[in-house]
Amino acid sequence: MTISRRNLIKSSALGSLALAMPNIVRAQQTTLKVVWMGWPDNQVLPLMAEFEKRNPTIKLALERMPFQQIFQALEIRLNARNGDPDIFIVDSPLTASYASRGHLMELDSLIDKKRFAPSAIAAASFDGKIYSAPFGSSMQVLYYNKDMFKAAGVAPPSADPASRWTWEQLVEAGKKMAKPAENIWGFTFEQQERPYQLLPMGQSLGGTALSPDGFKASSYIDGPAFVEGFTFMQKMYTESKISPPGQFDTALTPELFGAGKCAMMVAGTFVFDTLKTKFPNLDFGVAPHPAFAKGKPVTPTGAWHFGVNARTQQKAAASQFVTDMLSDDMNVLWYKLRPYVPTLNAVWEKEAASFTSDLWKIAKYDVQNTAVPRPATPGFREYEDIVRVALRDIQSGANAQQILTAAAQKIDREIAKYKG
Amino acid sequence: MSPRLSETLRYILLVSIAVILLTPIYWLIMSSLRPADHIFRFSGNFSIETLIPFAFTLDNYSQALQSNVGRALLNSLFVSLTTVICGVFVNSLAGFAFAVFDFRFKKLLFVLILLSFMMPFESIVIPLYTLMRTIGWTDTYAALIMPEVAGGLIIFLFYQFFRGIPREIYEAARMDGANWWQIYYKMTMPLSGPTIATASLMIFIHQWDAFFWPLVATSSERLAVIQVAIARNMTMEQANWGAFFASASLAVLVAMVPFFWLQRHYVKIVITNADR
Repeated sequence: MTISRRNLIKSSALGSLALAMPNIVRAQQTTLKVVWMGWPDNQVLPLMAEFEKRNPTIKLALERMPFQQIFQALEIRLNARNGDPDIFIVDSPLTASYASRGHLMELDSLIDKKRFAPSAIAAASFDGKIYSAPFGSSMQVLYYNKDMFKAAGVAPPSADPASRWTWEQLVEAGKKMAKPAENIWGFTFEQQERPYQLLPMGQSLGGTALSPDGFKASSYIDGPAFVEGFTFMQKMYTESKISPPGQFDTALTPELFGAGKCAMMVAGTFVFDTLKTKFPNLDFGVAPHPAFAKGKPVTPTGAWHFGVNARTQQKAAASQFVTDMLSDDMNVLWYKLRPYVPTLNAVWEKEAASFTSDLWKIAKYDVQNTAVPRPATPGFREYEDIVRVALRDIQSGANAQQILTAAAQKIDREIAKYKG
Repeated sequence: MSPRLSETLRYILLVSIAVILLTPIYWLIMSSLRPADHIFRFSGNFSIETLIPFAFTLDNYSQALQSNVGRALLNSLFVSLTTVICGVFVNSLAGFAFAVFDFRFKKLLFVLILLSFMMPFESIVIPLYTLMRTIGWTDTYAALIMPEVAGGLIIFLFYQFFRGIPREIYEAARMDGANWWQIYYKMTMPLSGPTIATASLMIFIHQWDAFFWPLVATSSERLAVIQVAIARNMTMEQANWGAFFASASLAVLVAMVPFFWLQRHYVKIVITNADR
């Protein structure tokens, strides 16, 4: 057998390719640094494992951060202005804040807007472009303890959004069940100081939380609607005393409700499973989020998105992460792991059977009819911090008008730096 | 008032202060031994059940140890002890230099050192992170240890002690032919046992309690320190209180060991410094 030159070249090329193969595979193996919310292992790891299974050349270096520190820690990492982390979780109203400072990669080419709820696309957009990937929204409902209602002889709220309770009704019922001296309460917000849950108190009375351009809080957050709404809230702590003061830890209030020490709680759909598994003896029902008698129903919404660091060195792998995580079946898996209100239309169809409960009927109705997202502004981080402090002050008895006016002025000063 | 009565009153006062200070820690440890749905059940009304867990379980500890807490305890121990060893060496040398030598800009440098420990950490965290990033130390043990080695307060502590040693002693040693390293190492360090104990404790507790910096500076699970591991048990609306209390109890108990061991010296230096 004669060895032609061509064959020699061919075989040596093949040989060197074979020798180089492991290195090529290794070179293709990329690692994405992912900063995620500190949700429990069993709700996060299966999702990430599924992604790695589908993409053997991409490894995820996953880091879950506690809710109380995640925004500060991300702020420091992002301000170092390099590609660490490649992917990070984004609270939807912070999209504008990150995007305006160049921390987020534009995702328009990766996201088909038609597949998502319009409100989710709106929350993901800044300056007409998509900067964060919608990965679930949220909806609040009123949880109530059936045993406590029965013992007090109070008729429980209806699950029908058409006959939703008013805040006035809620306070009256709460008074019959609260015994502050014995640490028994009528009502609590799950997140007692977060604008997320409390802005609807003013919005229900016709208030707007921030100017439409996102730069002015004065005469919005301190307008008559918010003063009236938050004064009403204040009285739940100081006059009727149906609500436990100072419980600002979002992990503590579900505990209070679960232990049978609070008759009603406004909390997210995502708390439902926790209550079921952690407090198997608790007999509770769900009803729609309350509204003011003279106002209109308004419910909080918006939740977790994720984004790609604009400075990532792994653009291809990061884009793959976005595409895969937003696929129908990954979203179904995520919904099953942690039941947020889906933003992807396909999940509503594919999981239709699981949306027939009271909880999901209410959530679906409110998401489509009454949900109002938090204000869109590049200064949301500052806005939230200032309003949180104001809400704490109001709950402990300070004059709502004065506190809100001072807060609004402070917000205006802080947001001004993002103008221009 | 008879001496007997005043002594009794004094003891009553001391015991009640001790009870007030220790109750939260006692409650923490007891809660770590209760099943999940019992933890807060008796917290509202103070009763015998609040103090004594009638339902008893070790599940919380096994849960805590199954997660990353064991590794995190070892990480914290390693980081704290290494910082103590490096910190005592570096800061005592600096304190020695300030106390014994005269050099240019000494006062200015000393003021800068004093300022360094009055500076809030939040104000330097972004530049510090960028620095660590530039030298490639993020997500390594070095990022956890090195920034904490030199400490203005610890330098000040050593400086105060070394300044108290009469200069004549140093001069005599120089006459006898000792070099400065020998004076530092063979003469002054053996004298400063209580100062070393105090400095070690301060560095150890500081590093043991470190939370925000380790959270920012390291991202791998294998580098998580104990306070970060504890916080991981807290999620937004679903805190695992049992595992949280169990890991917090473990952290408190381990941190108490060096304290009890060095306590004698710690008290001594507080007293001698008060005498001065």
